[in-house]
Amino acid sequence: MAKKRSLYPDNMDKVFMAGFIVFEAALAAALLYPPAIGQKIDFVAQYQPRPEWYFLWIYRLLRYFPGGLAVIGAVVIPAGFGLLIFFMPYIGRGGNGHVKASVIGAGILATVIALTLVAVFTV
Amino acid sequence: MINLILNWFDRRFGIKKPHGEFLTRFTPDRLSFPYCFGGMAFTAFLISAATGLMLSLYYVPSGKEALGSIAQINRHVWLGWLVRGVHKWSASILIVLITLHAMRVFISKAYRPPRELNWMAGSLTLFITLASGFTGYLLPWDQKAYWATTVGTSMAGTVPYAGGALVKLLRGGRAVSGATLTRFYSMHTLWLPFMMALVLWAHFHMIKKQGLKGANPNGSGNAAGGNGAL
Repeated sequence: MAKKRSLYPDNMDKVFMAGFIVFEAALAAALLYPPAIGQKIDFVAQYQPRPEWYFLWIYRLLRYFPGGLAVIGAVVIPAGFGLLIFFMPYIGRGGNGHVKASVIGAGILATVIALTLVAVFTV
Repeated sequence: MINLILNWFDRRFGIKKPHGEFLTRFTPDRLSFPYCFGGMAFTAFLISAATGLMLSLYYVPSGKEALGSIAQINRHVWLGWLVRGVHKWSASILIVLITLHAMRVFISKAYRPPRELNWMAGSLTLFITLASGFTGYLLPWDQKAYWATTVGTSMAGTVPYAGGALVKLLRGGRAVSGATLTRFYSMHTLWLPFMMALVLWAHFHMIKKQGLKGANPNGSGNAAGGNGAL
């Protein structure tokens, strides 16, 4: 049996490398795409802003539930996804629990990615 | 030199023993790249915390001065534009890395008992990060920020019966106003970072605890502590 490797000191190089990559990525992104200074607020004219990319899927989801159904897109589905993620260990328990959890987890991820892409490529 | 300083502290503070066990714990034979995502996410969090502290030295959380103070940071504060850029980007990077880390944990089945509580703590870090992104978006107090927050907070209003009260709670009034800015600034810089620190402490505590058991229930390559290569 090979010698067991420990985090320190055997893998310390990887730990620092991984941290360095993150720092470099943030720095490079900030240099290439520095955030702009926004415009003054116009409190009167209604304006439909796009949210940050990580909320785009909800922004898109809202369109499928107009009027009285809005609560489904605005609260029920996002909160439902959150609860499913939080309680995933209980879905994944038992014999074929992991399969069940995998289907649900992949479903959530696919839905979020798909809605995000739709939002990115539509106005 | 570093050892000299560490030993000086250790004799008085006793940092080596508890953290030594954490640092010298066994890792999977080949520490594959996906096992780094958790530690990388933590790094992204530290970067956003550090840059956030720097920004808070100059940012003014008031309706009259917020946008001006952002312009000041961008134009006149030394490297202010860069610190602000890194702060904004580190949030995006953090969300991507938490997602990747969660996928790695899921695929290696480390979310299941006995580590279910740690999965829950991890999912809380994602929710806190999203809440930080949402509250941080308002702080520049510009056109996009104001209206995005107006739309975002109005979503709570769709809840039957409680909706109106929820929106008022989020905004600190009927419409998004200076009171909302104060509220979001407090959440973004005090409440949420404090919660994050608490949850992360629990997250790492459980890695340490469960790593100490040393046993590997599955008998595969996941040695003790293999579920969180910091």
